[in-house]
Amino acid sequence: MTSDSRILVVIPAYNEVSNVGRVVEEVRREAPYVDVLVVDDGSADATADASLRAGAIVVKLPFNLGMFEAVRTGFVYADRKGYDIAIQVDADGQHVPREIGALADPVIKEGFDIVVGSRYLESRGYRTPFFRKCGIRLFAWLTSQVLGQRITDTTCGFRSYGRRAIRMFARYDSAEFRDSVGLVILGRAGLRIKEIPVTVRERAGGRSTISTIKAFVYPFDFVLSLVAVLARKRLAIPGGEA
Amino acid sequence: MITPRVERFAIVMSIVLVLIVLDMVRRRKLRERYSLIWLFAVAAMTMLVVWEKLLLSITSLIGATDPSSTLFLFGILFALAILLHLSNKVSDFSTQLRILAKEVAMLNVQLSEVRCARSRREEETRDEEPGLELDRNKATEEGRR
Repeated sequence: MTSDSRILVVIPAYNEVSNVGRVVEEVRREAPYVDVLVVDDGSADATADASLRAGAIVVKLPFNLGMFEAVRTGFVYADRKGYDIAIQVDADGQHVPREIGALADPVIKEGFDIVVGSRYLESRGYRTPFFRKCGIRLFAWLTSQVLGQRITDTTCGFRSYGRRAIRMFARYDSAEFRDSVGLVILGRAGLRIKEIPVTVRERAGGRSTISTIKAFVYPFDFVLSLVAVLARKRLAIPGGEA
Repeated sequence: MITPRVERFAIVMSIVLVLIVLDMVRRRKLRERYSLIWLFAVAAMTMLVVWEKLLLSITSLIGATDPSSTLFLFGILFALAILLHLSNKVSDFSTQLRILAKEVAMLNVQLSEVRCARSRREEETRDEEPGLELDRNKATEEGRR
């Protein structure tokens, strides 16, 4: 990593007191050149305090808005503070902070707008439950078709975004920016996307945020959002200062 | 058929509903704009019940055999229209609420940053009297960022 880009690591955290401190510390150790922002998504526990103690900047949402809105709050911060790159890292310790450099590099050196970490581009021993894997395959296939570019993993939350992508997220308030549909919106707007293989660990503690009902509704939500996005006009990339 | 008995009942119901709506507006439980939708719906239903010719012609127009099904149809249509309107409002509100929540969070973080910068500035001016101007400039610059 050689560059003087200002990088912000955005960690959305909802009731992650048992993990978030460790994650923040690891990020700061492995990537001392970044600023770490934890977005506390209305946690009932001491997530914000643990993050502050670990040395992160903390933005505290007044109530739970969901993972994606928490990430976007981080992007609003990055946009207003003029960061060049925002990197999303999960608070549960599943992502490997050592790979932050690899995720930032294509943005800095090759001019990509979004770099998506993929668990399936290379086999690195991450096991996914059967049904979830089917779903992810389907979303990835649909997204690839729409974008005309091979995408293997649309739901992984380990990604980096350049200035143009940050501005898109920060200034368009559309609930459809989540996951793969977000990729479709950004790709259609003309942003360049790259996938790189990443390693994803098993969760260190606590429970995954994906409930059974959500897992059932998700595919319908995805397809509906995708259709809605395709029916709308392409978004223009906002420029200039926030 | 709409018997006089049914007609009386419908009129009484309409009057009760109108009174409830007006009373809610009076107690500021319902905004005038929303009350208008309800009053309009009640007025239309009452008109259908009282003006038998209109009801019968609409009934034959839509191909229903019984005028009462026309009444039901309109009742349900009004309810659906109001529900759709409310869903639309709820969507708007949730977007606005989300934006507000984010802005509040951003303001909080900016506030604490300004406070930090100010307390640092105060410490610096207390600690080292010489070079005071320089330090102050640096701190305000940081506060601005």
